[in-house]
Amino acid sequence: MLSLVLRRVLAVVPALLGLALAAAVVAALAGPGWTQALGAALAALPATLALVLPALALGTGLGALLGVMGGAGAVLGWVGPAMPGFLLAAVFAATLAKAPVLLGLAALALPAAAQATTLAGRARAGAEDTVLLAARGRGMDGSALLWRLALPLGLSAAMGGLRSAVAGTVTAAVAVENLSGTGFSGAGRLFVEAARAGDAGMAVAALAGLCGLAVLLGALGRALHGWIDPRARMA
Amino acid sequence: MHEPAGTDPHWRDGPWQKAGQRLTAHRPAAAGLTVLAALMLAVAAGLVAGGGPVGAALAAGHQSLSFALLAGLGGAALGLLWGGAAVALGERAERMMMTPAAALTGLPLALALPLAGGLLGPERGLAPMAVVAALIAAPAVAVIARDELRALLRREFLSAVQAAGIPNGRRLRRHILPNTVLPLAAAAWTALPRALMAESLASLLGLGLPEGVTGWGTAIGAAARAGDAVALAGPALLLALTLWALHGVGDGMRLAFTASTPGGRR
Amino acid sequence: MSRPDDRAPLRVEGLSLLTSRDILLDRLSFAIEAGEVLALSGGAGAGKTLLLRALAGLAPKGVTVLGDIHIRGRRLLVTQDGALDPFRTLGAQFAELLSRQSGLDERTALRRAAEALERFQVPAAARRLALHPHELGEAMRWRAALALAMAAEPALLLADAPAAALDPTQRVRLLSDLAAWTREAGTALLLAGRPQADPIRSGLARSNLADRRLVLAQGRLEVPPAEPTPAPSPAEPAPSGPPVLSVRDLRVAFPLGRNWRGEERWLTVVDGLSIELAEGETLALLGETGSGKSVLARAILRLVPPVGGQVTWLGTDLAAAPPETMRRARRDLQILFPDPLAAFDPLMTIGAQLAETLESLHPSRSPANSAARLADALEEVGLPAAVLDLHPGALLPAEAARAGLARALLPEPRLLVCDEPAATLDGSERADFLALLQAIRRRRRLALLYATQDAAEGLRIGRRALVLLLGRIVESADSAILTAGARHPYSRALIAAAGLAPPALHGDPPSPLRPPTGCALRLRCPLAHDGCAQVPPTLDPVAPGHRVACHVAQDDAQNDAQVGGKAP
Ligand code: SF4
Repeated sequence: MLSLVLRRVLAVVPALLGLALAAAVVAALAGPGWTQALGAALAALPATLALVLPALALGTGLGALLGVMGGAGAVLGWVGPAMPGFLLAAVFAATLAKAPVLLGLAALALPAAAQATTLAGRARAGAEDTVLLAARGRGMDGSALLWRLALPLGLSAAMGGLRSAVAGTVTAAVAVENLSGTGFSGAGRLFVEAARAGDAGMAVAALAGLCGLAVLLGALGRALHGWIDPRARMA
Repeated sequence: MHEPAGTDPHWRDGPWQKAGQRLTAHRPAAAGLTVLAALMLAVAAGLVAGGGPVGAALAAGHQSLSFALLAGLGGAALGLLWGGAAVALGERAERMMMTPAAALTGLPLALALPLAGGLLGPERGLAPMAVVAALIAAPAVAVIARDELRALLRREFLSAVQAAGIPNGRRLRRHILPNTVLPLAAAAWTALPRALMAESLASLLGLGLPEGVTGWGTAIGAAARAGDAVALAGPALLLALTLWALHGVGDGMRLAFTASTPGGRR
Repeated sequence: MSRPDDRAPLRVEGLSLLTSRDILLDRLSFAIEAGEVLALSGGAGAGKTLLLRALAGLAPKGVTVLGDIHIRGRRLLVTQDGALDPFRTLGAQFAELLSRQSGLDERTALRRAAEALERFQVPAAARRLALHPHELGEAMRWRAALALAMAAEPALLLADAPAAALDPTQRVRLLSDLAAWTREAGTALLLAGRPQADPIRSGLARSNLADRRLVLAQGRLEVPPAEPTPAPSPAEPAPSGPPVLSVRDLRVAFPLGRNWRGEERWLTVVDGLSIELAEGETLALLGETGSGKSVLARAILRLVPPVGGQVTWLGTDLAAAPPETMRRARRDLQILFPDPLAAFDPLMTIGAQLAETLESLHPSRSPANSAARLADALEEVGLPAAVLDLHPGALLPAEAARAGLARALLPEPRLLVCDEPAATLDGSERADFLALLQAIRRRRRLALLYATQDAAEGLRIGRRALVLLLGRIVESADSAILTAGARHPYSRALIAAAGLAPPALHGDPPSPLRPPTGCALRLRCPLAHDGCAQVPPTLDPVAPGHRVACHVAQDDAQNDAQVGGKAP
């Protein structure tokens, strides 16, 4: 597992360096205080990470489970496309101003869960007459089948779509940070404030930070995918 | 061996009709098409009638939808060009063009729109914003388009066309291009929801549509900051509905136009 | 059928499967004794899979099961795709199944697993247990799936078309290993499969693979009629005259990109092949998947660009031919594709595509004339003229095969290259199509190049045959000679498999990326000796018109000749 994580993370190092370089160049061109801009962007990243990571983990895990179990999961997957994270964030901010952290998490986790549900449900339906039938033919029954085979299948499928889920969640996190009053002050807020002020250096640095975050999370997701599904370990 | 032709009512239906039937047989796609048509009508009617919170939401829809359509079409064209050129220019060019496209699809690209909005300042025009939104939508279209084109070029009937001694130009015009239409339409469609999402997010942050132009995102952002649930409901519902319909249709197109080679009896 | 014994592992009485609208299977009754192998055949959609699922207690939703199924002991179903758990290693899967079913601890289970794999002739079985299913080749995955099922010691094993996608050489070996084991273990085996209409292959029972055969048709079980012995195809005189097609040293290779040292890597598919074909001659190309027969067929028509060698048609070198010459040659050279439906543009009607072919290859004809030609062409292949207005999507596989034949015949070719033209058909449809092809060939005096992995079919259709292995010819002779006594171990294996006798080859084909040194068959050959690893055998004559590339076969032939010469 560790070597898999290392391999995946090492594979994205050039991309991360490229992002850092681009941010540095733009910040330097924009004004003299470019080191501070980069520093501020980096310092703001952990707050965003703390928002994005649990939401993604929760959403993907629960979504996959719901997807392979069918029923309520199907409904979630069905309405999923209608509720992008930024829209949920706005709705929550306007209606339930309390508990912004929890609501922010929910706004991010729900779309991720919906996507995972759809993918997992599709994977389960596709496996019904192949892998699952074969296992039943060998005498595997209900709960063992669900936990040992159907859930890993669903999780694997959900992890396969993690790249777009990561991008969507990071995007939505920017909206959450900006709509939830003073709840968060991460890279998303930094980015929007800099953009509003027309501060190119800071805005680009923050955006590069967010992109780097997405790349890194994507790499971790791929490692986790490989850990769950040996088929995804290659390459 | 041939079934009596009269027993199957669809036996003469051409491949285009069949594709259409497959699309509308997908329920979210059929519902999505209906919703989109209804929305268009409602927005047009709202423009005429105007007034009230509903009228305002519909008017905002006019701005959002026009922008999304413009930027989406631009993004689709750009993406198709990108993917098509990659396939046409040979293997090395393909790798050089598609690797960045694939990498870009994993990034929170939609944030480029608020960035552009901020940097262009409050006097930003619509056109540059539409260009940026098109650029945001293009890479995903390019990736899908490339995959579809590659799959098409591998299909056996092109060998049969070659065995019939049909020259390359005619082969491209009569056989390849017509067969790209449906799968590429499915690829292009994905640009629409992407452009709408990017615009709504940016407008919600106040960095999207230029000042004075109110889209759904602008209205939602203002209502959210004011904590006004009533003002939020209209635009939020309409935006959700539109996104859902766009996705449903896109999903249906993907299944109906690209899933497998149209073949088999039904 | 004999009176079913009450202790039979499977006894079915009056089994019907219904949906709300249809009767899928109608009052089936049969039994399988312990240690018996019952082969169940039936065309596509006859309900074999459904029956097996119902017997396993896994009927799909919406299907009602009526009647009695008595099963004594444990039953196991091996599904059509032989799927294994993708997340666990083979060893873990054996351990899990055996501990669940027989309470075995892990060490015993793993020992049992290795033994089970060895029964399917898996070398170094214990090492394979650490692999995941996706790391196995198709054949090995099938062996693992069947070994896993048999290791659980079922009383009844239901196998749904096992290994149907494998080459005959591997499939027959696998099935005979399975049948041998179930007989020995006293397991009742129900083996579903596609119908085998081919006369040589019809004797599933005779070939000792199955004890009994039943056929599922229209929802009922039937005992198959005894197959009539096939009428031997009329012996044809060897065509004389100069070759019309000659292929010299043809090489086809595909670039695989560069390796880490920056060297260009190539996958060689056809490796210096030479063929000559006279007017009206029929030549079969035999070989397993990956032997290069299909690529060779396409390279002759320049549908795949060769990297070396010459293809000469009537004295014109096609590799260097300008477009106009090539187009004229294409009139004479036509091809049938393995999936005829996929070989039609889905957006154009059959008529438009036929007209386009005619127009491209014979541009001078008048419209009225060509319309009549199209109708004639369809009539010749037994299709109604209404097919001209259909799109390919509306055709059945058998109709598509005939339409493909009609298109190939339109330009009045002199050579028809067939790449597994009946691959999508089975049963009587396949037999009918091949009979039609034969009749048309005789009537039009076509030369035929017929690529197939079914040696029996190839030998019946071709007057002469070439056996291909990894892009090279290993044996070439008249079909009659090959049928009576092929000399190369690989040809013998192909012919044995076609007759459902276990072929004498070990293991799986080597990867074409890393072929073994010396003889390409070395690692699977039962006769291999040290010399085979060092010197690649050359294709040399062992008798007039019979050439073989094998050290042992060549030595044998020499000995025969000496013995024969000394005999009074
Ligand atoms: S040359 Fe040797 S290895 Fe090759 S087929 Fe003959 S005996 Fe077998």
